[in-house]
Amino acid sequence: MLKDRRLIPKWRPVGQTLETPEASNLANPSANLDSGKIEQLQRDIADWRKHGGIGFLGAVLAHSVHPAFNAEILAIAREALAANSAITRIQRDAISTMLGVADQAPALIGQSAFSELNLSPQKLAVRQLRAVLRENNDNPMAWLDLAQFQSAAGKEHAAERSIQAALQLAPQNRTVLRTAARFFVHIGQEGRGHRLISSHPRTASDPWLMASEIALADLAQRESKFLKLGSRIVEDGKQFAPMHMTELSGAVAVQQLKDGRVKKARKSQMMALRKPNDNVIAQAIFQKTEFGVALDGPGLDLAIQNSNEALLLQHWSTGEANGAEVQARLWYEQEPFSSRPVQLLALLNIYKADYAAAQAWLKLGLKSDPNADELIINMAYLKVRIGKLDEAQQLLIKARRLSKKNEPFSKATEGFICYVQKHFAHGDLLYKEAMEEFSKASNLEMMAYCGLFMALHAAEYDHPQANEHIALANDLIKKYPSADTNIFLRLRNADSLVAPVDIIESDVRNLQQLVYDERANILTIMRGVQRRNAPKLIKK
Amino acid sequence: MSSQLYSPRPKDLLAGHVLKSGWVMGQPLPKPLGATGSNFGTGYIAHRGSEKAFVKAIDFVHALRDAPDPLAALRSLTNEALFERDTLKACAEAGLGHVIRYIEYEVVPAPNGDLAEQVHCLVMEVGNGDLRATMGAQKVFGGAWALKVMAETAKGIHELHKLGIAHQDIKPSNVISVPNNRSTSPFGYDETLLKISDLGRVTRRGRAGPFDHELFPGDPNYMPPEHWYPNAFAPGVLQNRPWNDGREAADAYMLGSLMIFTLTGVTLQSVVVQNLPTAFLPSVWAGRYDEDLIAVLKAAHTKAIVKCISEVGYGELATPLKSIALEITHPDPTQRGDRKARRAITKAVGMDRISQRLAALYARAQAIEIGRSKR
Repeated sequence: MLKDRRLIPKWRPVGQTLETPEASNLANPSANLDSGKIEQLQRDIADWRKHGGIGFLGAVLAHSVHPAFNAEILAIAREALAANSAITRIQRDAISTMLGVADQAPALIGQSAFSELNLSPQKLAVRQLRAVLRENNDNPMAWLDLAQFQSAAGKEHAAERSIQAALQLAPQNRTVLRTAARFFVHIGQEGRGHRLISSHPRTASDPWLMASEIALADLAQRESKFLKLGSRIVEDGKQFAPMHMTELSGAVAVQQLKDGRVKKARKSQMMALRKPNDNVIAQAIFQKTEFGVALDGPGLDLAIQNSNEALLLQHWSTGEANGAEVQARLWYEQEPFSSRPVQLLALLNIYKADYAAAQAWLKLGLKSDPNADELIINMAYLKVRIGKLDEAQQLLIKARRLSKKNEPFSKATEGFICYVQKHFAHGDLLYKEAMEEFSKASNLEMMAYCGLFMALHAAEYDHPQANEHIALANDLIKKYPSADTNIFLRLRNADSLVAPVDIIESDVRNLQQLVYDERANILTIMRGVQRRNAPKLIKK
Repeated sequence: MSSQLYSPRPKDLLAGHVLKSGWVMGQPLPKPLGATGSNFGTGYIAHRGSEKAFVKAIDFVHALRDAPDPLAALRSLTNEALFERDTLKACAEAGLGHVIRYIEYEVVPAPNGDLAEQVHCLVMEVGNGDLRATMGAQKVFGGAWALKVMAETAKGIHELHKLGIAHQDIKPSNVISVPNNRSTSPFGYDETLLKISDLGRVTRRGRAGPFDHELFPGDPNYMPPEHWYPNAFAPGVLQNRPWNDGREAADAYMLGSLMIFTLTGVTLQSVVVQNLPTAFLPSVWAGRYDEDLIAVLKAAHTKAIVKCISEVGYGELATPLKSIALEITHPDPTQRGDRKARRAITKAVGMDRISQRLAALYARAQAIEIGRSKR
């Protein structure tokens, strides 16, 4: 099942984060750099034409810092390449970048791409980062990236040292602060992450840090210091540009929803979705039903396309397993330390009965976070599937020691063990206890999901009452369909004992309406939370 | 009126003229050669017996006839010319070995006695060409030669800093190769010396000069990153910086940029800008020159420098060379310079130490190349 999600900062490779608004300045862009001197460029071009050679070509290329001269410089660059003039490799690279034919966009720190289960690219990236830090260890951005790889490799203490180094070098840097807070969440020290942000002098004037403080307070079960101020800023809506308000508005919206202030929450969510980042759009998809707002329109579509996690959630909710798997892998590349994409990848492979792949993903996830109880329970389930019942039981003991919140999953897995051992009565008892616990927690979809597994395993292991269980599962799934049951049933179509049920989306509210003025022939956007099923386009 | 009406100007008409000091002026040098950065000077090669010199001739016709405030323009140009002359003279008197040597200064009066048409002639040591030309003549790129350029330019900057002079316009066209009559190296390493030229943009510590009010009077293509973002500083911050963090640190950065240029044929700035995320580009960034920006600039500089130096090779010398480059191009001007010198009580930029470290690398590179040639 999909794990609960909160609006805590994302920890992407630094190069990616720096390309997002969360790393940018809160003020409006303004031209700084001198626009350059065309006479000087013309003199340098004349010199190069007369004397040729790399030195004179370099003097022409030096003007490339002024974008206004790109056309003139590129003309010379093309001429130099065509004439096979003397040119250095770096000059050639610079020209290629200007021509837009560079192999790939330059990453600020190093490369982080690795798409298969093979860990060697990760090791390569770590080696590159270490080399960068050996040359110059006062590079906070490189320390952050190194910490991410160290976390992914399960080297928690080394990662903490790297995070501390970054914090020491740039204690005021927003990216460093948010990443450090996210790291503390990863190692289970939510309170420490919250303290770091809530006590920082910058938080009071920075919407990104304020958003982190609100989300971290919720996670650490503490009172937020900035929720009131953040709510006022969101309500006012004018203090910062929408792209800088997105996470703050989203964090406020989540809290308002939690407090039962649905109307306010929708308004804040509307503000969050004006220029959402990948984190906010993923959260919006995750809580789409709770907010009951439509997530369409060009701005939101683009935001979804730019977020692997949002795309994954979207594919997951529509039962498209292949799309979900592709996006989960991409998300994993972005956040290799996170257990969330790993859990989904493991689940997809369990659903497909590819147990070797599922095990490989779970091992990766547990390496990075050995205490991720959801992964431990999944691993226990997998061990049952491959007949290693003792190991499964040991894993369940470990999961229970770590947390009680996933007890119904542990019970259901124990029920499965009993079925495998043909102890059907005890298995039924455990499965039913698990379902009851889900029901008590008002998680009826998960109760149905549990019932589905009980029925399928009953049939698989020749349970005498398998048919009754199947009938019950069909009944529950009809009543409480969910994305999890659907994606599983679509992947295991061959079983056909239980049929998937389409989820009918409940009525949603639009966050904007298009207003067409017939007389003036103008189309305008009117922002605001609309009533249920209000038309998307109205005529004036 | 346009100055073209007065063309050719008196400063362009000195071919064949004999200065009082005995220098016979040759033909004017073509302007774009870059022997001088000044817009108002014409270059000549002059001879006196067996001696040869470079003459920079300046007149003020343009200032008096075209400027909206001719008197102010005349005062400004005269100040600039005299300031450059005095600075060159001070350097010559101090015996600076890596700064172009001043020889004479004299004024050629106009036949009609018009002050605007008199030509001021600065007679200086002549070179074989600037770094842009010398680079093209190299058979092997990088190697000991490039380290020689860096070491000798650093020495020149150090000599100037010692006299309280910040050059402010270190760039390839202002590093001149000069024949060395005292060469002792059997492999030709010392046949030429690299000297810093064009002291037309300098600022002097404790002495008012025409460029004191300019935060960065040099070529913008070579300027340090704090000047890419002038709006990122509160009013007065850049103006009131201590001498070492302002002027000397700018020279240190330009040496770093020159280093990358000598090794790769591109300026450090152009590589760094390509590595910057969009939000941090000088044309986009609207915030302060703070930790958010400096951390990114630092990462971009590190990436650019490591890439450029690794590309050239240098084997065992690469690591110390990268360290020097990273220290002298630190985006935070208060941290820029030799790391040890910066940590000392005086917080000096430490160009003396940088120059020594580069000289040591040059010596090692020579030894390696000599060793190779004997094999």
